[in-house]
Amino acid sequence: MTLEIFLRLLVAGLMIGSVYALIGMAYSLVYRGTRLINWAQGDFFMVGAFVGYTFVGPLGMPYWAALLAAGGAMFLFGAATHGTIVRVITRRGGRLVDVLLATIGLSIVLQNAVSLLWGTDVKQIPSPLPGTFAAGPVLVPNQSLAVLGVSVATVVAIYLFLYRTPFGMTMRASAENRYAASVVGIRTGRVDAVTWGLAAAVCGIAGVMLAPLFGAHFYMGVTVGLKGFAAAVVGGFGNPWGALVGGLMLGVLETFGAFVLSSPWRDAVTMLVLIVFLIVRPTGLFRSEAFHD
Amino acid sequence: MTSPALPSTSRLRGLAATADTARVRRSLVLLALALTLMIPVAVSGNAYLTLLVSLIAIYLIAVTGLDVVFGYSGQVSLGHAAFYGVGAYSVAILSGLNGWPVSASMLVGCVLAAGLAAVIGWPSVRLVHHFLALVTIGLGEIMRLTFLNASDFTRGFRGIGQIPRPALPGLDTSNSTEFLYLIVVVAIAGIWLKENIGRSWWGRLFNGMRTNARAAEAFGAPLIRARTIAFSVSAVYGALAGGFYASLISYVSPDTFTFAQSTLFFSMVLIGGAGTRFGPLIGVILLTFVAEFGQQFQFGQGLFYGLMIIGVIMFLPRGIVGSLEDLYRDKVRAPARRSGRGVTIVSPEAEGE
Amino acid sequence: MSDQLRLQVRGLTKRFGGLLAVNAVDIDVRDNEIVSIIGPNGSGKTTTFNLISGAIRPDAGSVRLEGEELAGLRPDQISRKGIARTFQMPELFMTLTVLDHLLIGMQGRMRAGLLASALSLPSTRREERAARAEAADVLSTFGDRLTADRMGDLARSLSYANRRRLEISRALALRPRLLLLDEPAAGMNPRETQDLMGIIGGLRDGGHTILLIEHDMGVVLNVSDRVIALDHGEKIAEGLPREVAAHPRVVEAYLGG
Repeated sequence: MTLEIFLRLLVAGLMIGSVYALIGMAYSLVYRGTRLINWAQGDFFMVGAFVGYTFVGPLGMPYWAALLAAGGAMFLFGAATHGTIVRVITRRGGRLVDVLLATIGLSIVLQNAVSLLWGTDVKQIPSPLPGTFAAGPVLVPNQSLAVLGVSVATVVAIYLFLYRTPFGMTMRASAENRYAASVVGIRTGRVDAVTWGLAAAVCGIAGVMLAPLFGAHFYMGVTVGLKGFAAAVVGGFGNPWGALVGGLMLGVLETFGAFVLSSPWRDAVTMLVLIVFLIVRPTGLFRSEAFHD
Repeated sequence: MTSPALPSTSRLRGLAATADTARVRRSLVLLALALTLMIPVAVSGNAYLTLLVSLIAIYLIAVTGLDVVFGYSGQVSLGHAAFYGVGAYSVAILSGLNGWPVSASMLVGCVLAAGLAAVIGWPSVRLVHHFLALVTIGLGEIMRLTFLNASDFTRGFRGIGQIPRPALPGLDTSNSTEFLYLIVVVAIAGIWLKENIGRSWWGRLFNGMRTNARAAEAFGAPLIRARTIAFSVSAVYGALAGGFYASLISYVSPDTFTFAQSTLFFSMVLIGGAGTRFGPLIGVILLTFVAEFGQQFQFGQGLFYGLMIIGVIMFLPRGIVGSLEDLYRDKVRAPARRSGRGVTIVSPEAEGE
Repeated sequence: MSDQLRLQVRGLTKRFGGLLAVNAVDIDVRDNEIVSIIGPNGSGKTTTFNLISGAIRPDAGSVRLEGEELAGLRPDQISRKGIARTFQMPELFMTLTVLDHLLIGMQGRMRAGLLASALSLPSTRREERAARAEAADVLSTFGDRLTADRMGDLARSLSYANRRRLEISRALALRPRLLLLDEPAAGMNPRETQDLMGIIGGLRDGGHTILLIEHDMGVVLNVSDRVIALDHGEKIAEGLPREVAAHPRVVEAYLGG
């Protein structure tokens, strides 16, 4: 393996890994905040891409504006999902498994709805930064770097939001101790909706970022969602920063693995990692409380 | 030490009499069910109908097994297609490619599936309640990828064709109608076995574990062992269904055994009503019809299907049959005070006869 | 009556992080007596029960049931040895019937294997029928408060007092060698409490051996043969009810806090 190949794989791995990281963070944010799993994070990623496509294409918005608008739209969508489906289920006594199943249903609904509304062909979004960047011997598509950059920016934004704003502190308090939070007057229902919205927005942004590279297709969220989930498990489910590390690791592992083994086994590597972690180390690399009695 | 007086023999005889009538009644219902599935096909001879009902019977086998692990022991299994696939590929590889008798390869498939379930299930069921759900998703994916990539054994994406049918003396299984009879008989037998389990102390064990694991354990429920056993039983049913599927269609390929297939199986139990007598049947029939007759609407059908899942979880957590049972209990039996906190997703009642 | 104690607990200890919840507690229970463990909230009573019944593992100490060591076994294993318990908050199977609860209590004695049950063999069916007949007898302990015609009622339809009675009935169905009752009268009004204590006394007279937890001493004064007082995880007094009630450390524990 030459240095050029190594670097190329590394950048590609980090790039796709950062997408897995964002999806994984979404899973973990929702779990930590609401103790629930939203299985449709991958499909929020997909819907975000289509919303971004609609803003850029038919509506002619500039790319970065579309990115932010799509993020906002997905935030509302995520919050609405919580306010409707999730609330009804938890009100009648439903628990994590019920919401998991309902969001599996949501995933199906979203894939079919998108196919009906946008059709089944792959939609293209032109990249805002076409061309490639020469990093030493390696040629990297600018969009890949943009994905990495936006991912980093999103993570930083989440951190700042959670740790430097009053509402972020409210969210952390509610995640820490729901009962105590409600006792001091925090509207936990509202906080939960924001949590779901935030997670959805993160996925949506990732979708809009990735679309110029691979196009937007109604099925694109399926494997990404599963891998994002694996990233969250590896990092310790419920730990967004662990998911970050887990996602990058998985992306790199997968890219190098696909180079060494044949490409079809690429997905298998991630699934194997997922199941090994679930069985052998369910608390993840960074020892989360989830999945532990 | 207190020992209640042994129940008098006349009392036991009285109980035996009522139990026997109930048993005969139950057997007749199953017989009627079998006939309902067989007669329309026998009469019409329509090839499409035969295929459809055969598929329904096969799904019924798979979903009955899923109801054992979900409706009885309360564990969500989202990887049922893995066992379905193990059964199908066992028959495909051993009988299709290597000439084994189908019954032998089905047996191998069931054993492999049970073993897989035990190996994966055992370490998984000890952790928090929803854990198996996630592991089974991973398992389903791993099996699919194995079917796809282990081309030396499974022929990968090309699949395996020309799979024979089981040879049974007196039955011409190459005749689709007669093969249907075989599948229906097996499906009914599967339901009968499952119901017997449900009525026995094993059924009570599962019910208790599902409803209140802590209390169940304090009264003798070996949680890990029982959950693993339930999971293995579901795997056997799944593999059996898969084996029949391979013979029926005479071709298998990896893209049958996907997460979508697992979700479909699970939706059938969920929407029909887990843990109920006819829930799995209703679920299978309803969703098979939605799939068949919704074909023309393609994505509209998928949309409807997804909305059904969400709707059932939100508003009919006990599924169609379960909700009807609840309605019956509320309206027909003396209304009793409820504690009013709402129901979790599956809480079938054991029948106290 | 044998020399062997029905229950012998020695040096039972449990730590939760830095907190010593149960500290080298010794308990003796002879055949056919009622021993009550009393103490203010947080004194380690329920933790002691959880240790004896296997719900949590002790850090040190031994628990012997008629000489047989139980420490370290799982709850289901311990229940099969013949220890039945009730919980502080009723842990019922809300969507199951009264009859089911009793049958579940009897479960440990059932023999049928999975395949035999699946095939509904005659031996399995006989076992079932005998169990159901026995269930009615167990329920009769509570006379006309929880009658046999309520067998088909769901647990969640029962009143609070009946739920507590059902808890105890389920425990009795196990035909236990030792009955652990965790605050059985909690939440009941004085009349119901007195009623229940009368029934518990009747169980002892009928041959049961009972270890009881209660934080209100007055409740158990009349029905207990002996009383053990805990405070902050330690045994501070033991003896006849009146003696313990008057013991200065016990009085201080309740008043001091």
